[in-house]
Amino acid sequence: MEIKLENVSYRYKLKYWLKKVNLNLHGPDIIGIIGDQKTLLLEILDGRHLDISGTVKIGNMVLNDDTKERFRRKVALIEQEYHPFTPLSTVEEEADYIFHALEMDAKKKKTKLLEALKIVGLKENVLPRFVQSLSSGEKKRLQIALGLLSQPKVLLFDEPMVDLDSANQKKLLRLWKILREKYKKTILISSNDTDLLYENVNRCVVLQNHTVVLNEVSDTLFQDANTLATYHIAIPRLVQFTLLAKEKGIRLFYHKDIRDIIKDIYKHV
Amino acid sequence: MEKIIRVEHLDFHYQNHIIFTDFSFSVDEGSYIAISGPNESGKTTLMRLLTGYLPSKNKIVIGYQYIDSSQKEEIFSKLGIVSNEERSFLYESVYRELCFPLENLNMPKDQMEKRIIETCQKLQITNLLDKKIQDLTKSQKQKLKIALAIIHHPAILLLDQPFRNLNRQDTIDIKRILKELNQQEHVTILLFSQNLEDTLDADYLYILYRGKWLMEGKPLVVMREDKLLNRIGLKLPFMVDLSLKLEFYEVLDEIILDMERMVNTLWK
Repeated sequence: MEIKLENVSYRYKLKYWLKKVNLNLHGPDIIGIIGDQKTLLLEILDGRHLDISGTVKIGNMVLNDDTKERFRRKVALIEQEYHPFTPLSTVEEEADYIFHALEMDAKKKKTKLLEALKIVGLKENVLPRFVQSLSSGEKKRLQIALGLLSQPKVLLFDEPMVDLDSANQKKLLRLWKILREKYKKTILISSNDTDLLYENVNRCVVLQNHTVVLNEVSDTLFQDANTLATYHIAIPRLVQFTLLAKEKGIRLFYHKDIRDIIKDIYKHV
Repeated sequence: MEKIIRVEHLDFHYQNHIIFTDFSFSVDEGSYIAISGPNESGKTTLMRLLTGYLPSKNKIVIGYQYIDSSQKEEIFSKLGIVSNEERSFLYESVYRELCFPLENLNMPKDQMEKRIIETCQKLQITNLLDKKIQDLTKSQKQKLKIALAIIHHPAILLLDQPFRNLNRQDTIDIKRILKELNQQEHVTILLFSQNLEDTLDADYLYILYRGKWLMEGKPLVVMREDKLLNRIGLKLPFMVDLSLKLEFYEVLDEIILDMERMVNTLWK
């Protein structure tokens, strides 16, 4: 699945919020987005802003007034905060709103929903629960399950880890791998956390001064201290350690897991 | 030491879901306390009770007054709050919003302007003053929330995930500002976060788990219980994790938080 932005600009209140964005991404993959206006870029990819100039394409479909409904089924945006349709919705009611919007066959509803819940690791017993009574980790997974109902090719995550504890973060990381490998989804993750991105995404897009300035393999980007400094991106701590050791004449490898760097350090002391 | 926050034998439940039973704790005036715990440990509920967002039936004293009491306004003028509730700001413009906590103190206009500029300079957000709140990015909104919490020079700060949505450099800057407020202005700080990295500056750390205190002590002492913390879903801060693992291999004999210092210690 190809995602393509050609000369995309978003002007609002006499100001450019995004300007001449050109971006070409190929999936299935797990891709990070770092920098300013991450949320806006995700919203544009989700087809929420039609008042843009330039072209947004997913696969062969160009986003415009005629295609917007079909376009939006190809993508799902998992927002940072979950806003249920009503404050007192149950999980099943939330799903009903979406099925209604998708004009989906009533007979297939239940199977589809249970299938989606299973993928994200939720059980049938969540159906009658109020969304507000779910834990932060369960809410995030429910958001993904609901996003999956339209069978999107692309999943967009806005700051997904910020409110999750480490155990729930690990579950989400595993889920991304399954979605990418088994279900061939393309996953975009906006985050300020360079440790998270370095350790878990294959490619990273850098936004700065209202445009995309880099679209790079994440190892190349995050192991290059000069480029990171240019774009005011924090060096991932595992990389920083290897670089500091290098200054001392110690040649450590670049690692993505703290246990691996420990073994490497042990060999050198 | 005077107890500036006291929670006394608190019971709290949502419908049939019990959160706290006979829960007590207190905070010394001028201290910097952090409370961590996994999702669903009760942190947000405790924060909501402390900020009067949920009723506590005269079980919580803040600044020597029950928060359910009639002097609510007096209590809140002493409090600075960064909450995780989706904050609906009151005004459209950043400048106007920042006036609000000061108007509550009946501050004269010229002084108000001075205070706003001073606070924004401290947080490096003077560039936001002529902006509309709806046009701010998430990290700019977070910095505005912090400005609103400290602008009226409160005696107590209640902070729920104060570094939410901030990048590493902004987090370092705000951490330094909080530490200065605590050490120089003797502001009492109570900070909530599921991220142990956020709690390293505190004098004392409590771990909340299923509505009860699981552990407490100086942060680096508590964090030595890495197995227990991992089991309840928490992750050690990077440098603490690295230090403890290197200790295990006997190549280091203390926790070092500064990476350069660690590298210099390992390879003299």
